[in-house]
Amino acid sequence: MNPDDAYATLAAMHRGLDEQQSALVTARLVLLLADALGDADRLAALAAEARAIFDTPGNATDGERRGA
Amino acid sequence: MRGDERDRLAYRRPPELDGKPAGRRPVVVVGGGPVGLTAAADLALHGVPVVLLDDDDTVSTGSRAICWAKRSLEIFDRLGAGERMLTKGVTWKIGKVFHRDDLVYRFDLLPEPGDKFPAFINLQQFYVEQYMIDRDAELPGVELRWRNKVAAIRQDRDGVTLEIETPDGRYALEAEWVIAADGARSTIRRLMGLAFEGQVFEDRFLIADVHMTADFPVERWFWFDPPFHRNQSALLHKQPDDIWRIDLQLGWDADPEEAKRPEHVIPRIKAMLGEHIDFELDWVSVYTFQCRRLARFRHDRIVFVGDSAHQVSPFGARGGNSGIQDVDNLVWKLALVLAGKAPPALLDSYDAERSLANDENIRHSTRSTEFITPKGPGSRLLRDAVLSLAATHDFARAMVNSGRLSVPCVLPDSGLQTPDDAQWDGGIPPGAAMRDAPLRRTDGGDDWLLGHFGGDFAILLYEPSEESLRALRLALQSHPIGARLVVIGTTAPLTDHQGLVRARYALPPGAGCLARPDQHVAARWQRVDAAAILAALDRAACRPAGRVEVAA
Ligand SMILES: Cc1cc2nc3c(=O)[nH]c(=O)nc-3n(C[C@H](O)[C@H](O)[C@H](O)COP(=O)(O)OP(=O)(O)OC[C@H]3O[C@@H](n4cnc5c(N)ncnc54)[C@H](O)[C@@H]3O)c2cc1C
Repeated sequence: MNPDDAYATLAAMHRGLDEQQSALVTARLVLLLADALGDADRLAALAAEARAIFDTPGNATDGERRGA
Repeated sequence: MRGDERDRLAYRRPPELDGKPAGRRPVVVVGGGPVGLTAAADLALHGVPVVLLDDDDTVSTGSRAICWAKRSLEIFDRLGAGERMLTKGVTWKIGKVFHRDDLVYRFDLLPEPGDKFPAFINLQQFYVEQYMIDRDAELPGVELRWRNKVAAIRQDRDGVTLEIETPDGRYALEAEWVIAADGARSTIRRLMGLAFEGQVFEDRFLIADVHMTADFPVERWFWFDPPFHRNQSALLHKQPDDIWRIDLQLGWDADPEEAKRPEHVIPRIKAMLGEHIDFELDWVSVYTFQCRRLARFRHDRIVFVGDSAHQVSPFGARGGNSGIQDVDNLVWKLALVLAGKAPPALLDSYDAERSLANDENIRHSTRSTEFITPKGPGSRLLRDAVLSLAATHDFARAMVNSGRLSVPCVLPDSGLQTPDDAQWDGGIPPGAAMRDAPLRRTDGGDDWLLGHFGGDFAILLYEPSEESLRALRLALQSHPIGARLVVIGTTAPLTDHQGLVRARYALPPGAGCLARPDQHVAARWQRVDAAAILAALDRAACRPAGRVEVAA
């Protein structure tokens, strides 16, 4: 997959949409990608990675707290 | 008839107040809700005399449980009240989920015939309670004491002492065992200082029972974001006596007292049903839901069942149904312990088995509630995205969660089940509840498989040889608990005329399974063998193998 093509495809998905519409379209895409991935463990790992920027030590997720 | 219009249940002055202590009772049940009343009947049928205490003198008022699952009905049937409930109840099995104007999902809970009871009936909780009160009254050894409120409790090694308040004063009652069925606000839990931990959902639901003669189909209809109630969910479901249950999600900011006023309720319901439909409000309440449980259900001689042990949000109808299954799991164990045929350790398996079942209920109810009441803007977006894909994508349809309806739990390996010793192609594995199947009797009459099980241990034998039957009878004769033999096959006396026993249990000729008194499979064999059966029976009763008497 050509990275510029991939980015252009995703950017095009948002064209002409307002913030709310974009958010819904993104959420639909996430669900479609999760289904295409078909792997619960990888999905969990990717979700954790997506969230990681907000997971500073003072702001731990439930999962981390349980693991601690 | 409505709960609050029911006759008062008769209070009688307890004999203890006149200085007639009756000694220590084997079992006292605290709480006369559906769960406690069911426990009393089950104990009586096991020959255990029981006193049931309830602080009130009416059956449940208002809009509470309506959906009773097949497994509960099978338990009520074992206790002699299932057919009456089935006759009165509204049978249903189809559910539909709508998003805005569109049908996104339709389910059929019992797609295949061949069970005595349907997937679900709807029946007001007060009918269930009344029918169990009537059944308890028929059974020897049940004493129901209304307006008897437990105010204090203490236990030592030998028993439990309860302090009870009545209109005529206070008295003490002693029991070997106490079953605490005193509901979500359990006094006993509070008196014992036990934590009831979990999660409260920040949302409010208007639950209304309305009387109307309407010809909506007998199906469970659930809406997300319907045109008549934007941005919230709604539910419509039929009950007996032309009563319909309506749930309307209100959001956390709604004022529960205001929302309950008829001038606010009626316009909402008109918007839902249409201006032209005549209805009358029968009952209205506003609820906030929670999922919580006790860390342990058994505390020595005090055992918690039903809502006092665990509480769930009602999406999925898992509250009352799981309490009935708690009783089903506990009572035979208690009866064996009281008879000195099993050690008290058997009761720990109640905690292990029902913990797993109730964790499963809490998990499902929590997930349903989170789908209906998303916790933040992101999860709301995700939920709406699922709904928007559901009409066209199977994977998204499968995520739509308006309540995963109660099904019996496959019990964990609590030490009572015997693991399979062979490869099975399907069937009912150890730990699972038995599945019903139609049978034909010698006289040509129709019969049901589950009617031959429950209450005691029994062995389902599929076309056994004469020789193995003889060996089994001989071996079981000297066992203190024993087990009944139920022979089924392609010929009389009990004929599997549709082949469904064989298909559902995957039993070849000569095979069999051991059923616990609660109709769960404890063990199964492709070739039955007396020694293996005796070992499985001891294991299922927590008896050290080979020992004849167990001190209680
Ligand atoms: C809106 C709603 C809908 C529901 N729908 C369903 C459904 O469709 N299906 C389902 O299975 N469940 C449903 N439930 C849950 C169901 O109502 C409960 O799980 C059920 O009532 C629990 O029964 P219980 O006998 O454990 O407790 P309860 O019914 O609460 O009974 C407890 C009893 O103990 C008595 N008591 C309390 N303290 C004392 C004391 N100190 N001394 C003596 N007696 C005492 C009380 O008076 C009461 O009679 C629903 C609940 C709600 C709120």
